[in-house]
Amino acid sequence: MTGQPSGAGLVAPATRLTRRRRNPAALLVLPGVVYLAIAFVTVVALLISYSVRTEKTSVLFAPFDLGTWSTALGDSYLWSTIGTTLRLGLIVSLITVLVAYPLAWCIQTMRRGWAAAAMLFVVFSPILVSVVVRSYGWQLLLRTGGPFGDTFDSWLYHEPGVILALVHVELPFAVFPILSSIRTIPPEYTEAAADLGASAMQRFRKVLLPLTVPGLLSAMQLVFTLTISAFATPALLGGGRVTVLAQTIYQNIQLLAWPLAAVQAVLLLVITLVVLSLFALVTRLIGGGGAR
Amino acid sequence: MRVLRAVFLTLVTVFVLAPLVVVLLASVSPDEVLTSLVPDGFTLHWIGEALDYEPFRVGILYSVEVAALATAIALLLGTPAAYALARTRIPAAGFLRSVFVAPLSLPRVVAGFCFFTLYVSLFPTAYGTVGGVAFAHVLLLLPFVVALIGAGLAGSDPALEEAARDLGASPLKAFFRVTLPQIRMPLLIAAVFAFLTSFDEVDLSIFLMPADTTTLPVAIFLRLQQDQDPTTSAVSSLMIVGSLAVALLTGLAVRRAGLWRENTRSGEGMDE
Repeated sequence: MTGQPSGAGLVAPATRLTRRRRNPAALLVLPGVVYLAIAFVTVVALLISYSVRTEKTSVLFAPFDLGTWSTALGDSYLWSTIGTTLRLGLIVSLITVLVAYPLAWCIQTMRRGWAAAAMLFVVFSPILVSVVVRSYGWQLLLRTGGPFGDTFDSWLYHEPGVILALVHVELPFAVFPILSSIRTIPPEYTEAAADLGASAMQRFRKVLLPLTVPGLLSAMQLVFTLTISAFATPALLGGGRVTVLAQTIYQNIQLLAWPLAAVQAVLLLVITLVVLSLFALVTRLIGGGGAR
Repeated sequence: MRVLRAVFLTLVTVFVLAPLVVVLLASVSPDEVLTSLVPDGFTLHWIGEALDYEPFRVGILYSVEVAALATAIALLLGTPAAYALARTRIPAAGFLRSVFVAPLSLPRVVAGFCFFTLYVSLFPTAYGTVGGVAFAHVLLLLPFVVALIGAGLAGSDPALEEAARDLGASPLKAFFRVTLPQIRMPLLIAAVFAFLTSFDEVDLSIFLMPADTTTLPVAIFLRLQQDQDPTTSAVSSLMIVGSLAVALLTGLAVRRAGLWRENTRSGEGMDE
């Protein structure tokens, strides 16, 4: 930051400002940190505490019992639910990124400013509409006797319908990181490549694609983690036939099997963290290779 | 190539807007079941019925209260934190930054389960109340609020606040009179985004209240679990129109102020 020539004039006063406020600064972050600490410590403590109680209870200090874990892990239904959850995560994140990547390039290279702004509004406005409403919209479109008759009979309340609606829900989240990674590419790079005689295809493959891989990966990571924890969309479009981990957690709470729900919540959390660290690892490997 | 691009963009637009348009159509079409994309008539009957339906009416109010409270708490917690991270040399800034982003990686369902058990087993009075739901929502809003206000601060000029202090303003006065007006557009965007996020939330909220009194999206979800009728479309339409109107108005306000664009540009310059 200090190496920035345009900011050089600001460094001196800014430093004076920071020195004077060193202690108050900690006080400014404190309320937020306290809140997050309560939330996170509670999460870990309650989750773990509930997961080691007898299977069916709603009492916090029910007898200690590791049986819930062994029952859950030995349950083939739970494993197939985890399988469905991960499969949906993989399929949805792949499809979403495949749509979002060219979409981001199209938006970025639009010549008319108003058209780009309109397209951005179209892509991002669904974020502002509740997931429930959007999933309901897909129900209306796909249902038998709806606008498309029985064309989508095998979609609604089956995996394709769930995938379609999830792609719709997650698309803006994928476009955003890709678009911002495209925007950080200095135009000189492409110009230099063109001056050196690279064709449009070569410029894309050798210059632009490698530079946007980090954005692509963070888009995929975001969509994957959001998809495996999605609840309302699979519940509405799966119609009970497609069951994901998030639904079983909710169902077990309704059945007053809180420890079982806790075990499944721990599993969902662990899966999320594993996915996040895998993506971080891949990003570091690719990023390190690209920089050299 | 150009044709291909136009086709692709058209397909994406249709895909993105189709489920929203069909909800709007279903809510003004006289038919019980929407069978065609060209409705044979126009009626406001369903909207009237939706507003007469008790859970929806209660839900609208409930959601507004929760969203307003959650947004207020998130701004009160997030603004000073973003300020400290952007303008002061706070120890462990990198770690603190990741702490404020961390809630994004926590699955909402897991968070919902945890707040549910927290309330039911330790604070039974918080379960199903506006305060309890809002307190949980803050977890989802905080990362956005800190990031958006942080970006706004990065784009505003710290020298102005310093000048105000050199001229004898107290740190608080300098912040409220000089820095706050500079970041009013990022603040507005953060507030609107936080409000809508909280208003629309289902996955976390559904754990935090009994089925008879819920926020609007949860009421819609629970009704859809049982049956579908145009009343649900009608109340959904109100949500779509409301959200898009709020977004458009915010966009216009930001455009008019013209501050945000310049700010983010210089902000990006400083980050890199």
